Amino acid sequence: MAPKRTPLAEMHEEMGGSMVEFSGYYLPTHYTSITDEHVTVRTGVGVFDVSHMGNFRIYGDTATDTLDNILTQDIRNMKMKQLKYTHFLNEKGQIVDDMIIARLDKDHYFAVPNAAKVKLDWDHFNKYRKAGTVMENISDNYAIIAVQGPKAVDVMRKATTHPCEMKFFNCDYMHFRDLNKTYLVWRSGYTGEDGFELMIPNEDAKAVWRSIFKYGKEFGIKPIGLGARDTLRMEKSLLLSGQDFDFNHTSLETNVDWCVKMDHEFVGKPVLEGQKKNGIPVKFVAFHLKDRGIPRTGMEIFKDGKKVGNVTSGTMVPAKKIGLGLGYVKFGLHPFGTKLEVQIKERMVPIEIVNPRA
Amino acid sequence: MSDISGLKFPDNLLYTPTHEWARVEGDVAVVGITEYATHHLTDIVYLEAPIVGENAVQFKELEPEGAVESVKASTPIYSPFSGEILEINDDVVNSPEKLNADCYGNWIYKMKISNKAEVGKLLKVGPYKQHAEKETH
Repeated sequence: MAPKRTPLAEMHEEMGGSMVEFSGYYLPTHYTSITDEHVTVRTGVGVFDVSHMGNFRIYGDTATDTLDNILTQDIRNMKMKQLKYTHFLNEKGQIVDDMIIARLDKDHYFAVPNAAKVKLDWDHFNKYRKAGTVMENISDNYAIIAVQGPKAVDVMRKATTHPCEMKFFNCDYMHFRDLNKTYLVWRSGYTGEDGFELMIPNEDAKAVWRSIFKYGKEFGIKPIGLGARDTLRMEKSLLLSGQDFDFNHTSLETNVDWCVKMDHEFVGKPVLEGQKKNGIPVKFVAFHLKDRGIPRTGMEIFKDGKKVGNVTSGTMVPAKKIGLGLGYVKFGLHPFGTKLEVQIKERMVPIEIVNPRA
Repeated sequence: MSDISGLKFPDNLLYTPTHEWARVEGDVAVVGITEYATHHLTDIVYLEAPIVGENAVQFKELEPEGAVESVKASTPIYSPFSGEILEINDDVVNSPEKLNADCYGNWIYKMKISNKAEVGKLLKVGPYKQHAEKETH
């Protein structure tokens, strides 16, 4: 099956993107180089096409109850225009997927599930939908343009009439000058930097993309591919669905256990209660190599010759030349500063657990 | 999905189907990776150097060490000939990004060619170019 083209595919071709198939979509790995694009987002501003991500609209009298029961986050206490990062679990307590959800109004939500899991997530949500909740899978109707980096706010202030004073993880409707139209914009991202994610109906996606580049020119704006998207998220230890968890871990085993609020009932909660009582077996960590090499998915982690964990993601951090890995180790070996080893071919390479946000 | 126009294919070199180049100097081969390889790997950030003294086998991966890594992936280095690894280019090991800039000017290792008959099994520039083109589509 030929990969799906996003509404912005033509833009990538025009801008010289090196195109590949990813999650069934035709998307760029990079335009110039992954390192250059990584540094651009850390120091200036870059733009990603993340239209492959899904879009669910959920509303109705019981929408809050439905979501509060599915998601690990406390949805009832969300403020209007607030975003939350959340997990949702199966009855074994395993993470089905992670997503960010926006509360647009009292009974109206907009959620962005991962591209490869849209179908699965949709079925899961339908399984637990309460009467009086309406759900629409509008994944094919929207493009998402992510404007990311410390200068993203400068670009958005030029491209729209909005003051952009809302805090990270809030959203609002913004009026775009060139198009004279209003769209939903989230202040969020997957890079560890400040940024905005623009929810744009397909038919307007190209015009918005062009407008963002026009206003971003003075800030050195560049298009960014999937390669840097991955290195940026790894450097900040942000989980990748399907890779860092894939029906084999609970939320408490990850580094984002704060997205679980135990003061409400939700699918999978009894398993988490059991782990809280009896102990969490493994914990997600980020580590740096103390010698040459790059950790890769599937490699094993050791302490005193005994296997104590495994690597789920790895790279060499662009521009910094540090071998960085993400993975799970036995609970108790996860605190920052713990020294372990990773096996790369026949070599045992010393590693240290680090705080990726430090 | 990207094409090979714009990539360099020097005609004084021999090639493997796995995108190594070799320059034969008597019974010694100077080995590197082709621009097709560097282009597809994108940013090369690490070179896991082969080990001097190891015996390579023609068209097999170097053992136990020898790989080129980009931020995204690791790819093994294959040997164009059977024979002993003689020397490693430390300059490239220390600055692997040089392979992105000039993969033909920066060799990776030198090896002894133990069986000269193997030279005939390598691809000349024309067939290698055709091979690379086919892999692209």
